[in-house]
Amino acid sequence: MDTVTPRGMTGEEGEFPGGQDVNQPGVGGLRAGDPEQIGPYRLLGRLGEGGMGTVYLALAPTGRPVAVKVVKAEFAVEEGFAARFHAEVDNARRVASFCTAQVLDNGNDGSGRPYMVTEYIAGTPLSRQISQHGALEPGPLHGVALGVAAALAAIHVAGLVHRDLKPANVILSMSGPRVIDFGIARALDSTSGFTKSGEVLGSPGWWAPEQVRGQEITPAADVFAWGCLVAYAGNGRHPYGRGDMITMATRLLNSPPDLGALPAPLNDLARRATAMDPYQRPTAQDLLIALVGGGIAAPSAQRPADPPTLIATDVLNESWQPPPNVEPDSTRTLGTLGALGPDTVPPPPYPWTTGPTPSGPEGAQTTPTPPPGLSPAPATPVPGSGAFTAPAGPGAPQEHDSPPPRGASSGPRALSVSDTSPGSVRSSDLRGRAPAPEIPPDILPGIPATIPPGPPARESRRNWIIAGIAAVLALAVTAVVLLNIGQERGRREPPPPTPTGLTDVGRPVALGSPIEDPQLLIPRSPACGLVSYQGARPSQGQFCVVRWTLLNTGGKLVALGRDPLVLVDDRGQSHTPKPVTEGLPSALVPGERVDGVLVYDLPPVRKPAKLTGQVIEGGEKIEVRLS
Amino acid sequence: MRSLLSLLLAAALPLTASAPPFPASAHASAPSSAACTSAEGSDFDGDGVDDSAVGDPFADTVRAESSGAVHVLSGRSGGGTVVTAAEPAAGDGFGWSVQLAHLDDDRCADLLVGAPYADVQGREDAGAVYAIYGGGSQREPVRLIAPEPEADAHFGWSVTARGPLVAIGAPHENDGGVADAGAVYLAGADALTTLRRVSQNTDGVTGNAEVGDMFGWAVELGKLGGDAGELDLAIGLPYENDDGLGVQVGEGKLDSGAIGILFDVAENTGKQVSKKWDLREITEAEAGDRFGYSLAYGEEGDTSYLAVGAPLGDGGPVKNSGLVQLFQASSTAEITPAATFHRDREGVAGDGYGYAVAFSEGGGLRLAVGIPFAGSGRTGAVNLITVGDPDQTRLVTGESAGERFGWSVASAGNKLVVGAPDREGSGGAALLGRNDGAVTPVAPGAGQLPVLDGGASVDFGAAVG
Repeated sequence: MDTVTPRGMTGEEGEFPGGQDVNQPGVGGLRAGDPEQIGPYRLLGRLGEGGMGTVYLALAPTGRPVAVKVVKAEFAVEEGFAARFHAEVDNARRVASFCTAQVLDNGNDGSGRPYMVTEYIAGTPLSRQISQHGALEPGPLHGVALGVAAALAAIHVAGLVHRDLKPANVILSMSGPRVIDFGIARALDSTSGFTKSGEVLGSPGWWAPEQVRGQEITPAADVFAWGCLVAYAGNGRHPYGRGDMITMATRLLNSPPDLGALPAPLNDLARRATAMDPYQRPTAQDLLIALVGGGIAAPSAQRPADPPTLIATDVLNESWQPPPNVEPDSTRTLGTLGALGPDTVPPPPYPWTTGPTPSGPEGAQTTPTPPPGLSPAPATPVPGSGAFTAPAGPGAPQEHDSPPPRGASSGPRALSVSDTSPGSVRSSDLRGRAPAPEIPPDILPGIPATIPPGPPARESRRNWIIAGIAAVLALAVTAVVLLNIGQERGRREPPPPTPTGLTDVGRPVALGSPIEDPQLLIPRSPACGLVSYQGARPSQGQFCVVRWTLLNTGGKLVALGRDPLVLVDDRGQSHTPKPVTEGLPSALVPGERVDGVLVYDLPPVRKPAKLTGQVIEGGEKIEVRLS
Repeated sequence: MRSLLSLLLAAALPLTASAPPFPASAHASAPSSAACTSAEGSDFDGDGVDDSAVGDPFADTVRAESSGAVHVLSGRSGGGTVVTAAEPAAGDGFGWSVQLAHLDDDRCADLLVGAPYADVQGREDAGAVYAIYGGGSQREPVRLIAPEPEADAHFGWSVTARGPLVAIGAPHENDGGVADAGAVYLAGADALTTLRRVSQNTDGVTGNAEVGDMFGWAVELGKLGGDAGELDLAIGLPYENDDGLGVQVGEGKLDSGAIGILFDVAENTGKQVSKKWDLREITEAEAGDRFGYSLAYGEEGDTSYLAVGAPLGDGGPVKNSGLVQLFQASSTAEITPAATFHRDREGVAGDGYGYAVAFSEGGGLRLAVGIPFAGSGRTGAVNLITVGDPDQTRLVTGESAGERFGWSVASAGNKLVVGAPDREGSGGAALLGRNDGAVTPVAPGAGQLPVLDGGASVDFGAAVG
């Protein structure tokens, strides 16, 4: 805490990457010195500028308006920054676009500065909404809470942590609240020039305690910010009050937040989310489930570190009610720039938002007709994804093609996104899943909508039913994409075998002939969840330390390959070892034994599945099953 | 030998798997040595029933990772005792080799444990051997090291003891500047710390020290010729190249392997009298046979036998399936090659027939041959052969794929103990009853055998003795 120095916090908000001016109608004109084009994107105006760079509104070659964020040259010249930036953006591109501004592209501009391109979200930042119009009504508040929780779930399921969630990064758009500016915080955070000086990335008041303490940042930090954000939106004031950075940080570490009066269940959820101990906080999925009507488990340390499994029912039947002042039409802003003709109206973010109705309770009274082409979606697996199935519990109703009757039990819409190989998700998987232990798994599919009735406009829950389904689908797609990526990287090897308890832990793996060639022994299961290793800290979430022993019981000098052993996690993602430990030796003389550890930086919920690589130079590729 | 480091013996009673260790003494579960009835058997705990020792050289102990541990399995209770080094260090490999033998005057067996990857006097992986006295002896355990410890010598790679002699192999020790030529150390059981080194450069030892011969990979003591009252030392050199006379490097049939016999080895302190066999002299040999990879000694009547494994030898018609060559001697006959065993047409290249060998004496000498890579998924097996009637054979296979049953074999009284170090990851073993044919699986934490308190088993069964 004493070493904490805010960076780029000269203004209350408005810093890149978390700038409030990003993705909102307040588009300024280009200034002298601004380029006309970045990559293939033609710049139209400025959306914001901060300590880290500039955000432009631009047109993609397709005519789509996008936000292009360019990092300042001073960061770009830092060695390794561009690679980190692009690695992070590549990760962010896998985040499902539901409730987030989708990351579309990244590259380097003509002068070598890295940039990233996201959807342009027209709307009002939550920060401005609150500062100008005060606290949200319970209906929109619930929508914001749900939308942000869904966005976090999507971000976390992709293995990312937002790290800078705050009201300025939540855009209230006509299609729902959208979370922006995730994905590159870590690239900036790991910029050595910053971390060395003990600075904390993020915004005062929206840090989690562990961020201030410089401890491990996990998805739980985002959940903490979610709790603060909901309290802020519901009360119109920050749960830690106002003050400078030191004041805020001191309060954060020493007193509980003032969550004010929030409607149930948000009061309870916000309280849990702002627990000092990150392990006591619910996950984004827990929040999501609780918000759509399930209970929430008492968070406990025994929570299995399951990969994100989202079980959602179509009890996502709150309706999104944009605050009355939120403008429905993003083209208006663009039009004022004179950049877009009538033929270049940007496509709405989602098909079902075509012809947005005027906001407000009256406008929301439209008849909830099934959107064309959408209702079958839940029953139609995403191509190539057996990854979600409807649990075929006894008596579970079959899929039906139209939305369930209002107010009725919602039908079997339990979709489960799992990391297991396609088709391997069984309904029994629901049983042991952590997120909603208070819901008897068997009745999950048919759970009635028990959420506290949102105030008006309960009729027009169509958007949220759809949106909820879309969230599930989007996450399912994410999981499938990850699986596919994993398989590609694994040279189309079959997905990790279903856990049978049969691993190679404790079994020397022959690197060739079992008698003549060296053996690789992983004596114990990897130790995961480490928040530091010899002073190094994980940037993805956790270190997994894999002990190894190499033994040459043969008679030859054996040269070992230079490529490090790759760890494949339970989602099929490959990881190379961190350079915090020495790698394998270059050769083994007869009789030689070498012991060591490999340290991998994994996203929080992942588990190591196997090690692969070619240990012997020119030898065969081996595979060591770890789980 | 500044200090003879004591050992911790965690004497775990059958029902208390977490009994605290008794520091610095070799307690066993029986109160006195009076119950030890045999001067020949392997009764370590003194309860009148032969025991067996199972090494887990990669076990984590409460004090150090991968330092290794040895379990002494009580033949009577089915329980066991965990033995670890008093000052274990990470990666020692304690339990790489184990042998129950008689080192002192009581009638209880004592335990020799090799830790070939122990660092000694700052020399990495020089290796050490521990002698732990059984039968409730109050005698301090003894730590043996080479008189001039050498890095990567792996002293303790192999150990054996018979009668008044102890032999320890250091196959990766350099010899006269020749890398990995190997050496063997000899000591009297009553004077363990006085070690005598023999190598191929020792006067009278047939053969030349060549790079990578690994003299001492396997060692065995027995009566194989010479003076009938004196012990002879058999040495395996599985990486000896069959390259004719003189010193060569990397020529001839690489790693075809050889054995050497040093007759009356304790008596011939000046010049050794020795004989050497390349596999070629007995049967058809080729490069890489690894003849001398494993050794076992047994007696039946006046005849004594030496079994020599060549796990990559050509077992009959199947190349590289492995074979075991039997030698025999008697009080009147010098050692000569006898039968050759293999799996004939049933063998598969890479089975590793002969990876480990042991004799089981009493009531008809039997030879046990480990075939750890046999079967689908390297389940492994053991071939039991009645030496007097080689047509009487039996094949015992492992329980599960990949467990490498037969990686190690040893006799334990009227039983055979077979290591399956990769059973379920942490390893296992089996006791094979001689008469009833019963196969009793054993593993730490199963039945009455205590788990490694505060540590973890990794390769239980990698060595048995």
